[in-house]
Amino acid sequence: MLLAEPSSNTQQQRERAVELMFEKYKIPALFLAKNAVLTSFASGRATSLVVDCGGGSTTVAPVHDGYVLQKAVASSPIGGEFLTDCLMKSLESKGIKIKPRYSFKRKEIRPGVFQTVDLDLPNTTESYKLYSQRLIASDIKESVCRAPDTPYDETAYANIPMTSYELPDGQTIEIGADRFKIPDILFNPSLAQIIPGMENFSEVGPSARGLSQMIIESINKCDVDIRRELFSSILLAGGTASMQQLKERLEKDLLEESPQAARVKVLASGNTTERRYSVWIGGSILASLGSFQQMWFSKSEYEEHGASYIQRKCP
Amino acid sequence: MDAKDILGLPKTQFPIPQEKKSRPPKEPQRKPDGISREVYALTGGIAPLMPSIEVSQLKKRPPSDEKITWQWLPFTNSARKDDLQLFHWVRVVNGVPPTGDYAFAKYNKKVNIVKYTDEEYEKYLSDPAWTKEETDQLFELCEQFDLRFVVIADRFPSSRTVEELKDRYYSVSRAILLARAPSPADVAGHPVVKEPYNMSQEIERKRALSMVLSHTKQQDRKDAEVLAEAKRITESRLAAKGAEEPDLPPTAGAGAENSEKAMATGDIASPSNPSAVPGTSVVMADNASILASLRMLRVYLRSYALDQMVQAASSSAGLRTIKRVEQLMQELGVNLKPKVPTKAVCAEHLELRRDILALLNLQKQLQNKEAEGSFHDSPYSEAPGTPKRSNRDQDRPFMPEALNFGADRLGKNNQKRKGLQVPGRTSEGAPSPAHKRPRKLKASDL
Repeated sequence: MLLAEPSSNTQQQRERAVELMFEKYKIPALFLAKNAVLTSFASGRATSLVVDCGGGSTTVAPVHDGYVLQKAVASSPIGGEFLTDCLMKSLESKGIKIKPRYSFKRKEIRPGVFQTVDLDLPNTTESYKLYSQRLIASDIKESVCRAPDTPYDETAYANIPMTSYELPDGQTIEIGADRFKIPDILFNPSLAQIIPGMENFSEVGPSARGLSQMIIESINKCDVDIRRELFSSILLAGGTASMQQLKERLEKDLLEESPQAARVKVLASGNTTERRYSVWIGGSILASLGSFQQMWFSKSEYEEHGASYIQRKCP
Repeated sequence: MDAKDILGLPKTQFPIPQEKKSRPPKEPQRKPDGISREVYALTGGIAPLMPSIEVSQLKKRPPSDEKITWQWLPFTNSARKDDLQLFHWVRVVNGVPPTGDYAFAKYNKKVNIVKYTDEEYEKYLSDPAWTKEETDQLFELCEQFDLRFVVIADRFPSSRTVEELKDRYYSVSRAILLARAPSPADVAGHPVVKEPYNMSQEIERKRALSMVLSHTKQQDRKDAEVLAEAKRITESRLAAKGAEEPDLPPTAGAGAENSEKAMATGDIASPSNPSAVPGTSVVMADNASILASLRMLRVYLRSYALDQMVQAASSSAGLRTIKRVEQLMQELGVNLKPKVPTKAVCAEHLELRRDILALLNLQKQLQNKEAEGSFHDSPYSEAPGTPKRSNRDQDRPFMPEALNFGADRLGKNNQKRKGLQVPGRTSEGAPSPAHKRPRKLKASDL
């Protein structure tokens, strides 16, 4: 059983996972690998800087020779879910109501023309409603949002042509400046405050940094000798990384702030599915290697040395 | 009997195409067997000099007397310390599973780390900055991570820099080796003993590298601008210096160059080309640029330098003028290329050429102005004793007009000036020294 764990997992969490695996599920052998390492292996590199833009958070982790440099890992709570929330609040403030899928039924009166009938289901919970709304909002985000080429500016994007999107209940909504505002929150978290309804963001706000700053910070915490290598192999992973134009925007931002001597290169696999599941792909590559077979943490070793032995075995 | 006979058609109706057909189309090469035609064409239709694959091997099938099956079998790995048995697919031949160790076990290599005992630690290895626990921890991590110091520094509980860790590790290994060796000569060849780890040097190197890497793009742009500015200033300064001081001492030139970092060629003696008489600014600018280009070469012949100067000087003149210059020089008895190109000789040669060029130019100008003047009435000429321009005869010899020459020229200049009455010019003003020369020459020549 090869388990992929977050790059900033604590010792206790790992030991608990080990115990759970061996005691409850009775597996013969286990290995705990960090997400960043697996993503790195999925692209064929032993040294790289992995930028994982996931749903819950964004993590920047440098990997050197197959090991994560833990002191240089940077993470921020802004992830895909956060962007979806922002989008929802923004649409609500514009008066657009997103109806969850279960709350209506569409009947075909005439060919091509639908009529929606609202259903009233009193037993649905509030959280389920929110969840369904989120689903729709995240679909809007994935299909319509694009990372802007330059940092977002209210005035510059005021006259942008609107794109239309059809909600499941037949409503068509126009999305203009939000297309670019929402993704720019990744790069500039303070933007979220201007969205009405997101004022409570200020609790989370101060700790969050933009994506480019996190990358530069992380690299500067590493040893000087490997910085150049890290700059030239920055990997993008995660669901949010499949946003359009994100790679180009990131490259542009980094070229501005990076030193002249280093050559900046951002790599991302072309396939969005590959980006989302790069951790799994890396895990499968690792597990099928012949020389990996000696690295398993087996049940007998667990019985002999205990759960804390995992630290030695899976660094 | 074929159809043609029956029909009575002539047999040789199409003699030419048949001949063509009979000639088989010339095959470039006969394609070898075993490779398909398309694949062969990929290589350009020519057989490789050394065939990489034996053609016969391609068609060889595995001998069918063996029976191959794939089975899901357990295996042990000698690289593992426990006897974990995992399963995998195995190619079984004739029901006999393969023997021998797991194929990848041989890749389990480890670095040889020196191990010390407690007594050895007490005797050789105590260090004020390092406790025993820390040293033990360090060595454990070294073994676990195969001496990847970047990762070790990352996982080390107390924060120590990579250089400190490396320093401690190498000094300990060194001390142990020396202590254990029967005589120092035995281990002198060992890399750890031969080249000790120099911590301060490493720290310096890393600091320099971090400085380089922390320059952002804006800073680099500013640096480039500053350097370009500095280069321009020094070049203009050098040109000015060359104009002021005729005998530019080479060391001064070299010193000036050395003092600024933009010029890479700091210690070349500048070819001093004293132009004794300050010529026109155009000439000096030429000189400066030639000097600059010559300085780029570290070693060059003086005759080459002279050629460059001559070329530059005569670049403004046409081919005909150059020929006339050379003609004149030959009449004077001067070689076109000086036989002994020493510094003084070259300088004089160049000066001579320039003067001849100036003379010819002035003569041409004079002729042009005379031609113009013959169509003009010039009320402005006040030069004493100047015959009217209209009376002037073009084919009068030049010589007698020597005295009037200057006056005429000044008259021409007066004509050019619109509405300005030039006061009398009996003394011929202060003609530029360059004009004196051609007249002198003429007087002595002809």
